[in-house]
Amino acid sequence: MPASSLLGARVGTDAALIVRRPWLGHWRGLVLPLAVLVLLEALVRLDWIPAHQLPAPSQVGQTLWWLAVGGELWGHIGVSLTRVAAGFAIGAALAVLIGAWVGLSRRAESYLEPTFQALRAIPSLAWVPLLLLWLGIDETPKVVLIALGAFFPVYLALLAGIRNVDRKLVEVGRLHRLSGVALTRRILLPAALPSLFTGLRGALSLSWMFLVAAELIAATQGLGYLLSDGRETSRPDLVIAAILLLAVLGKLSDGLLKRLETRALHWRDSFVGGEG
Amino acid sequence: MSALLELRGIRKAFAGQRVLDDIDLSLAPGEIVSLLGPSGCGKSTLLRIAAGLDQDFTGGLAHNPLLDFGGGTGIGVVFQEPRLLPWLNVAQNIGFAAGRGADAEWIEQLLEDVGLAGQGGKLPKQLSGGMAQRVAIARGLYQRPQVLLLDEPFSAVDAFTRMKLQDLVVGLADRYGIALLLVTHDLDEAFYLSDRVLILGGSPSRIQRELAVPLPHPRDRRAVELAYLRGEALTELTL
Repeated sequence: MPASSLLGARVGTDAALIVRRPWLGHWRGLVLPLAVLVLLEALVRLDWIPAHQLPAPSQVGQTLWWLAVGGELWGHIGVSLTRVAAGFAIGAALAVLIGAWVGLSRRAESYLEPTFQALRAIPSLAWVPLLLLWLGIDETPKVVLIALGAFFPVYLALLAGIRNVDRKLVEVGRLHRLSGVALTRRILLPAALPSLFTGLRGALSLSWMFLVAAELIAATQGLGYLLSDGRETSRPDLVIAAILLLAVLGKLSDGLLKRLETRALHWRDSFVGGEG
Repeated sequence: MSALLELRGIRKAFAGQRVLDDIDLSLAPGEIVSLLGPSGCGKSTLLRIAAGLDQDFTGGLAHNPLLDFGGGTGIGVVFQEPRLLPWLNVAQNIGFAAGRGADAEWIEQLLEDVGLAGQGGKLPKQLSGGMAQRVAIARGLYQRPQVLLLDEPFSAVDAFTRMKLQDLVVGLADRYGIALLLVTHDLDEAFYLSDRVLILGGSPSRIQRELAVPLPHPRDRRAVELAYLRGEALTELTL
């Protein structure tokens, strides 16, 4: 029968299309960086690029190794991680508190929103000189700067999230005569959670950015310090090693937050992207 | 005052446009009353006023002091959509009024009552429309209300599910001695379920006619009396 064989053939091609090799996708992603590494190594070894400008990848690896064996590396990573964690936690916590308050109360919004709008227009790095003047050059100004950077993405995302909560769900809360605090805790915050997580992840990447800014300016330890130390001592291998570490830490911390997000939002019934 | 819920001379306007005019309605214990009317006639608005969700009206709304006994407001509400909180599972949704201190045994009983025994751990996204509405009904009953307000609760499900849910609600109302106030645009539903049907219409809306349905429950959907009453209502609505 031609009809059924046609149908069969069609099913066959569909099946062939559906069979995918996801592991290939991972390997494909490695092709470009590996090729660049090999090329760089060759160019430096052949003296086409001077090593004091761009160290060979193997040189960077060696620098990392020595830093790790000497124990110096863990101190830098520890200090930077502590600063990011403290700044991010303080900024995000304040943003959740104030964002929830402003989201719930029109009065709070009309008092606070214009001021926040104005503050948000200031690039956060512009605060650096002032922070240094006021708070000196120890830990406090660094943590404050990171907190400042983390605050706005979380605040804005939470406010938008709360304002987008389905009125019908809020009505369920009203029906059960929930107070403002209970309504926030039991309906508004959970409903705004997807938006809040988007804000948190944006805030985390900004926290790393401000960490580097703060440590470049005044620090005796940390990954940012490693960057400026490498520049001052003309050691590009140190600079590149620090950049690599920042990339790894940024990716790991974002991955952690993403896992938290997936777990907290398992109830969500939404589009997760197509196969195409 | 013997009525559980009494609305007197209710007037309501949206942006200067009057939608409800001088509406009187009372609900006696155990009674089933339907508000029937075309869409946009303000019947849902009237229900929201009765539920206390809309405070912007003129007229009198009286709750029988009996309603204040017990845990909640004495009034349960089931909306057109289930309105379940998607981050809570079925059991947590049903016991929402009590939060973490919810009575697990009572929730289990309600789950069984609505035909969802053992499904308390599911999330709303795993439920079909009919199942979600069953959960919403169970949530409406959690605080042991004496009045249940239903806003077109069966309009979003298919015809067979609708019939099952109608029987379910009437059965539960009878078992727990609950009075029902039902908003609907479905003639069959109104007469099959109610003791009294109030027909809302006009502009602004008034109660055009009140039809009593003097038939005992359970009823036969094919009963001649129901067909006659449906005809009367249809005449009123198409005038």
